[in-house]
Amino acid sequence: MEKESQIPFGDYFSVDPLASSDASMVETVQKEEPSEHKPVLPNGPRADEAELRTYLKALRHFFADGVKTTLGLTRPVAPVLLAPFIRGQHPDSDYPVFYHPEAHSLHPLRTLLQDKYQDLFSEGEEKILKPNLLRLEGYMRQILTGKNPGDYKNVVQEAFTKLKDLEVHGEEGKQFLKDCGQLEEAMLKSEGVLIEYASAIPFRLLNLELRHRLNATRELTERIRKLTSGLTELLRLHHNVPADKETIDTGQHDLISGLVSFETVEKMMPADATTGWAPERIQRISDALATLEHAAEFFKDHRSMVFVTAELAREFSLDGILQEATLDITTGHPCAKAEAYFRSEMNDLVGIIAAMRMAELELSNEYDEDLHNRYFERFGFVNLREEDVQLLPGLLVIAESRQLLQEPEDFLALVTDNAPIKVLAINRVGELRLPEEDEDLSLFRQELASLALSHRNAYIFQGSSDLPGQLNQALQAGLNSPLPVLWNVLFADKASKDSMYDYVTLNTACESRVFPRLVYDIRAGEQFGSRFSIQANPQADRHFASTSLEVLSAGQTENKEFTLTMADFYAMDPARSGELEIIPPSHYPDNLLPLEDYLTMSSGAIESQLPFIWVLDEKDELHKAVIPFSWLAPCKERLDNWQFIQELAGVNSYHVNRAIEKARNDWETAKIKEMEALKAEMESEIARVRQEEGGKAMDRLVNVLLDLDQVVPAPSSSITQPKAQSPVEQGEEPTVVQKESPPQEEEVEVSAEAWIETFRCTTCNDCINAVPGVFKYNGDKQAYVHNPQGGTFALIVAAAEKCPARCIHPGLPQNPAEPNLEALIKRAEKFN
Amino acid sequence: MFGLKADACSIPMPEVYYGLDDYAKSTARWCPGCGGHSILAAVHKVCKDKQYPPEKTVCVSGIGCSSRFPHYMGTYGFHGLHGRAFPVACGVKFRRPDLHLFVITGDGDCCSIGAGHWVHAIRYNMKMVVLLFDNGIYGLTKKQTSPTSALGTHSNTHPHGSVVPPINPLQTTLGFSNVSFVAQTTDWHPAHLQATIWKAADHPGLAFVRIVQRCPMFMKDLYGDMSADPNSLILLNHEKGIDLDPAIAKSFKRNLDHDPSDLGAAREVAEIHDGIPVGLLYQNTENMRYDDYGAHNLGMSIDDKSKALDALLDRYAI
Repeated sequence: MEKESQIPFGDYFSVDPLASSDASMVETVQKEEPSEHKPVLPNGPRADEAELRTYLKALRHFFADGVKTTLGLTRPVAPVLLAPFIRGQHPDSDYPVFYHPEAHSLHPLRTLLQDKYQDLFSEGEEKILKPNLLRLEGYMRQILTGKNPGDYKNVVQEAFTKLKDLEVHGEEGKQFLKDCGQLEEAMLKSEGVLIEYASAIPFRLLNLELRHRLNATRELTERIRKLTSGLTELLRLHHNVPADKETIDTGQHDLISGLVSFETVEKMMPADATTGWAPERIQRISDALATLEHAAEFFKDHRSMVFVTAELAREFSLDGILQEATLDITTGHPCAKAEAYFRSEMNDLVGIIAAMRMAELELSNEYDEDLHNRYFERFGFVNLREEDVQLLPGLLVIAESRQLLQEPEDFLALVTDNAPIKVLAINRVGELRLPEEDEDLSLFRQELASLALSHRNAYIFQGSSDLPGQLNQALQAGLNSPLPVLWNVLFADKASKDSMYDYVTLNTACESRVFPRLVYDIRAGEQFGSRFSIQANPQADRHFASTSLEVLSAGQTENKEFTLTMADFYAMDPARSGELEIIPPSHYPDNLLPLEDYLTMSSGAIESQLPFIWVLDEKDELHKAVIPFSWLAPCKERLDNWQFIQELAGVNSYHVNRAIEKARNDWETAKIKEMEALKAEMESEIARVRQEEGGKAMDRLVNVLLDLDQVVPAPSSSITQPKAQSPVEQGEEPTVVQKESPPQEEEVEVSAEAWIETFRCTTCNDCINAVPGVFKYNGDKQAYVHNPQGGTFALIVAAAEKCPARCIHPGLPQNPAEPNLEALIKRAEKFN
Repeated sequence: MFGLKADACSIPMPEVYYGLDDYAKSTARWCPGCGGHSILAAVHKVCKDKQYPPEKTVCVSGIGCSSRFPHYMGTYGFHGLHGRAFPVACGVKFRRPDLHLFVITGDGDCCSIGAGHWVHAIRYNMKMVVLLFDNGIYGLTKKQTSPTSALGTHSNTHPHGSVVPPINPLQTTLGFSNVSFVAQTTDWHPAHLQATIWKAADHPGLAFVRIVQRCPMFMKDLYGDMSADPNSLILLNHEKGIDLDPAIAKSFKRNLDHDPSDLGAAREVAEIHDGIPVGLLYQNTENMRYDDYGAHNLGMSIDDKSKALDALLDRYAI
């Protein structure tokens, strides 16, 4: 320390040597250990029995009528698994997502970064860039905020500019910049869109899918153009129709490759020649040609149609988002309108497909009048193939789920029909909350998805945008389906302003079984069970999902399981969370039961019990909160709905469980019988042998006594007693399990080139200093062979001999002209 | 996906990223083949992976080959007197609990002259990583018998072989009051060495790691063959033990299931002699920590201290 900065003795108490830039040491210490905010289980003295009895009475009244007791705590609380996020902590999610139009794929940004990194750098290469991928993601998200969707390239470039400012020293810093450049270049090669979470995300994804379908429409248009050209040329050849050079494409086409070109034939045939085609045939072809000539216009005029009310269009700004579709703002029932539109336009569509089929048959000269005339006379929608229907412009309906349920006839007509109309039903989180007291308490919630499911015809998805990958898959599958589709999607409430809180709410609604996720795809299998899946739900085989958290109890850390129930979802509503009775820790009665158990046990078992959930207050203290009876009925209803869905999916099925139990009982009964039979057999055998041996022994005794038998053989028994197991001696060393060693003679393949078992390198610098042309350190300062030809075999063998970790394997000499190879190879043997 | 988790990108990240070179200083002058190189590289890597700011990291050592360590670290360091690494380290930790502390000691420095401090450092259980470089000899002073030299070791002090049985550092440490973390590893298995130091760095109290170290200069025969024999090491397995990559764990030929919360079993493991058990012998995260106790008056201002002193002295005012 410099003399000037030493504190004079007398001034010791006036200058605090620790009052430096670290203003508060305690604060610094606390910052270093942020993980100490574990929930704390209550611990303290219990109230006396009389008080507990009085409180229990009051608690029962609360359970019955919802009127809180005077003893209950009044602090603000939140369900334990959700508390940090309700209080503003940002949850981890799959957002933002990257949409790649060429690959037609959707990936979370994190996955994109990791995939790009892995494509560039191999697993063993330790790069400083790798642990900083999260940092890069964070920068990209910051830049993306407020720009939705974001311009991918700009976001990437800005984020990398910021990342390159990261202070990394020395050679590692230079390598870091180089690696950043490589990764940036690789990322910029992709074209796409970055989308952050927002309430309108299902519509953004829908628009991207509709845009992708334009490719299919373009292919269809091109196909029609070729058919048109082919038919035109065909007519020209067989019936002298004046040439319209604009309609004839004289290039070579696959469809007419069997035909001769127009110019060649024209030269050979007289101007007014015909080939003897029947007028009906010529008319038929002309009609088909006329239909196809207008088809391109038809598809141009008929983009994907979306039938939606003005309110919804305004709320989600659908004009701006659904740019690949034409919006039909309707005041009436959108399902009916969509169906009417489909019916009116269907004839045109059917006509076009019929004309295409006819054209293909004619051009390949396979049209058989006897067979095909009748076919095309009756050609209708039912004749359309799946791939035909997928080419058609999308027909979508966007409506509130409750509107569809209020007038279900049109919706049901739609889902039972064969019209490929897609319905996106909007469910609101607010509809899932606890009913208000003065509302009509309809105990059982109407389920649109279940209603559609019962008709088994439509493709059905139920979920929300918290899992963008799943939602996108469902949108793709639905748009490609030739059948009706229902996407029953959960949205946040209209008035909501905090998008991440919305995300938390949607996720909780789905995972607490209030709005469970499901997919029904009729094309997935022959039997119903194979078409229905609930695997997107966490722990789908259980009533509820649960997770383990570390909690502090009397100063000790322990793991405790917490379950996410529907009551946790209901308690997220600040207007209703105050209805919970938070029990003071000193007054915990004995008859409290976790809600998940209360809902699933028999009525006899829950008699006199009170259901509770775990909540957390602002000091991170855990409390038991009893729910009132008015919450119980909706909870039971949701659980009942979940169990219904589980049964349909064959998961945790009552019938399956019964069958398993029966099979188990039958097996156990059979086994017991078998054991008893064996036991009886053994006992009779023992008795028989005893008798026999007893007789023999008596005989021998008699002989001995009568001096008739000099030799007395030792008694024998044919029954072997089980060997007594020797007790474990005290002080015995713990048993070390030795793995089976491989056979002695093992053929070891010798690598031709030198190599190092890098993970065993102890960084002693010997080989690096001795043979730098061959050995180099990786990012972890462990050696590897960067150039097997970078040094002589002699040097490599010497390095192997010197290596304290014995991890260098010299291989075989690379230069046959090197002297003393025989001796060197012999020395290298034990290292190869 | 179940369970909302905190956003990984929200974790505050400093605007500096420390590479291995930030923790390395001058070239290590240990003998070629010395186990110290491997331990140094492992400590560098752990510091880098944990992103310990070099200015917030301290290495404290005593005297010996091991104790050259602070000179080879680009962090703060204190190369103290023989056997006195522990008291210095305890002082550093007591008043600067925010610093990441490594204590580097050898078999002589810790188990001989430093034994008294060793007992109480374990007892005080302040958060630090203690690395005992146990090569079974006094190497810096050119081959004298150390407390851990095997019976019969020939040295300058015992040309006919040592006659007193050695200390077992593991067994001894496990016998101290309030012991909270005891592990053993070797210098010739870098992956296990690094994983052990990582686990030790995460331990909330004093993490004692005995590193079986080779000395190619003076104790070539001690672990020379063992380091090449895959059967010499016995991997202690448990979910609460050292977190080792499964691919690396498979390379161990001998395995032993051992629960590190069982002190009795740990003492049995410490007595295994037909091989070197490597892994976590014992851990208890709930033991009392003296630095926790000492933190109560950290951050007091000069005024507060003056007032406290005045209040104390006023009790004796006449």
